[in-house]
Amino acid sequence: MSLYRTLAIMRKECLHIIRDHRTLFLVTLSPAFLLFTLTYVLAFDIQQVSYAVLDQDRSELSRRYVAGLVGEENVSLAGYVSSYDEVDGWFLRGQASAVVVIPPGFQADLGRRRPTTIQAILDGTDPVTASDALARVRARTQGFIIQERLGPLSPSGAALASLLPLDVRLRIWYNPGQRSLFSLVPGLLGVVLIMPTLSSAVALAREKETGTLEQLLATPMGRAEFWLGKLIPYVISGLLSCALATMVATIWFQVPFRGNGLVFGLLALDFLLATTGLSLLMASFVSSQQAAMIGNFLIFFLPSFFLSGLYQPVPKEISPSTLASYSLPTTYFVIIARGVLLKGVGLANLWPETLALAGLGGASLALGIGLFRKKLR
Amino acid sequence: MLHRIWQLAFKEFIHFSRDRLMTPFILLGPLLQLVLMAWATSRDIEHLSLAVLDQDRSQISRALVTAVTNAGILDVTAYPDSLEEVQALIERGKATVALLIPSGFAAELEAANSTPQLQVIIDGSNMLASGTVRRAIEGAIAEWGQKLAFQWGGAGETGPPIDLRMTARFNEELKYGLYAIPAELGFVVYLVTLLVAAVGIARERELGTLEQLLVTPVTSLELVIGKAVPAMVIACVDFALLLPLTVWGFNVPLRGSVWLLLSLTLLFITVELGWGIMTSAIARDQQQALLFVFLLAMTEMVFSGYIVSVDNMPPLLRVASNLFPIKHYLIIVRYIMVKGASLQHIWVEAAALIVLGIGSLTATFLILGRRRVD
Repeated sequence: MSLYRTLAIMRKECLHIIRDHRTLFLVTLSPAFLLFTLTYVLAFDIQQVSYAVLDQDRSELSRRYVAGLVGEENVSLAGYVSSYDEVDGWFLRGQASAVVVIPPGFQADLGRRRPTTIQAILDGTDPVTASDALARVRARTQGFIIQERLGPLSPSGAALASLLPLDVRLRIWYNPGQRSLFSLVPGLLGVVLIMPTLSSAVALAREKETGTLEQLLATPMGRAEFWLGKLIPYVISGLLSCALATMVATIWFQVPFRGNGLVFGLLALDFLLATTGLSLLMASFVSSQQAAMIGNFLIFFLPSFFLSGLYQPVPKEISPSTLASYSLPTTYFVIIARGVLLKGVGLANLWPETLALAGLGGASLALGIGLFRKKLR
Repeated sequence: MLHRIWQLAFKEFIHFSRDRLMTPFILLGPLLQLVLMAWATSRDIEHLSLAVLDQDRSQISRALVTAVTNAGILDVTAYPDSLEEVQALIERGKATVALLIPSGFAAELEAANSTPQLQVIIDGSNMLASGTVRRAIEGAIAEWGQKLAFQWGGAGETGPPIDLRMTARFNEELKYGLYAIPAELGFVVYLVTLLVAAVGIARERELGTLEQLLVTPVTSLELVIGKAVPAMVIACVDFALLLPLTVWGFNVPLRGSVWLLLSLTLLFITVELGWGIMTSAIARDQQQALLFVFLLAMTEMVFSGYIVSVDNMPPLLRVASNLFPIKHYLIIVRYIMVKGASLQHIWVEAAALIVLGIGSLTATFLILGRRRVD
């Protein structure tokens, strides 16, 4: 193995990237640009809920209940529903995420201390919004009961109040405002870093498609030299984009960076070696750039969104999908990025993920070099 | 003209058959992807790990823990002995939430004028998990406290005066899969369409064969259609494979009209083809085209409403989201499949797709007309 020849391949690869300013932008700057756009969308995310009300009581108390229900920030009253038959119509037009039904005799029952029932009909199409709406209705209803019982309606209000107090101190660590920005941006770093990886796969496939690989095969270059020469430039450009994208996230959008920058750089390198290695390995089996791209999208892009735990946590029970999750480098990087940026932890906590990535990187490198044949098919 | 279009389309199919991995990639790949993703997302967000630091060890504190775990969303996985251990568990991701019950909790609860404290610590690093946990634990504690209060001293009342009942329409058990799987179906079809379409013209340009095509009697229109037909065929075949899988394999209902869904899907594929071919016409070589597709796909992903609900975006971005066909298509798929909506409910989205389609195809012709040879 000669360093000189590896460097020559690397130089050639860099020329390919630099030659066209658009490719240069796409490989290095665009991950940061992408993260900027994506983060901008996430930065303003506030969960909003709108209710429609089916008030069958039409009393003073029921109006007070509704006022309490929608008197919260980011909650709105979409309107009044006149009958049960209309409920689906509201959901089909997408005008409300929940319909709250107040039964006839609501005021009378509460006044006479008879139990009454409030029904919340949710639009189950979006379960996350639906359960958020339900939680808000529940909290508001409980608040309403306490308020009503403490008020002039209830003689035993004081006694009840002394029984109810439970001081629940809720602390949400790492992301106190529960902002999707803080939760998603570290993970999205892993997704946008697929871009340099993608270019490496396409670059290898291009050599095959345009026939320049044959010319390279005729040179004294060894297969390890060729492989590393292909790999290293994209890993380096990936590190560069990683630094840029992290700067965008932390400086512009104030995503916390609580851990050690050097450790993060090292782990990002670990991640890039794994993704670029796997990507090149996949590309070595195909013969066109298009196939390399489709393979890459199927192996990295879509699963990174749906299997990596970026959005929905990876399920605990063992199934083919969990296995797929854990053979995906992004799954580990999502944990690493959240760990370093939000939790401020280091290698002491992240060593299993680090080892897994190193294993994936090493195995793909060994397989890639081992299976690469210096001859024509 | 038809003959020339057919010749061009046929040529594309030869390109696919040359690469022995291409056919499995574009037909089996999406199928396998959807199976894995749907499998992962059809599991509900439950059995999240709860660490309990119970310093009270009373009957009441144990009843509280039982009440919190009753719904099945939280499972007690650890009983740490100290705050440091709690912190370590959360840092290592071994616990998503911790419940801290201080000693003397039961005694304080029974005493008249004191406010017992509970502490809940949630790992906020995953939004969806922390939101679910927060709703579950807050709701459970409040309900438990209220029941207890009325049991002990409610004036003549044995339970809370208002019983809150929940019913969910279209998705009775609030299964997350019913939300995610139609979206995944949309994304898979979308990506295949875009990837196949984006390469067509860029490859001809990169290899120099575009010049050869330009000296033939083939017009820009024929070129675009000839490149679009194979991509459309592949996308339709993929959709035809994936739809039965979501309906029978993953029990996503198809409550609305199949024909409406199919015709709007065809419309969506056409619009995406427009985007793909436009990308292909702008790019200088395939690598650029593919990287452009990646940029486009990422942006569409975020504006699609899947990650962040479009209603929650600031007004300017909400307007911008209308430019992305996938946003309209995801609403269409979800509404037809899960809600059983008919055209009268989703005509706005359908109209938006038509407008976007006309826009992207016009732009493609303008670009191709100006820079036929680079």
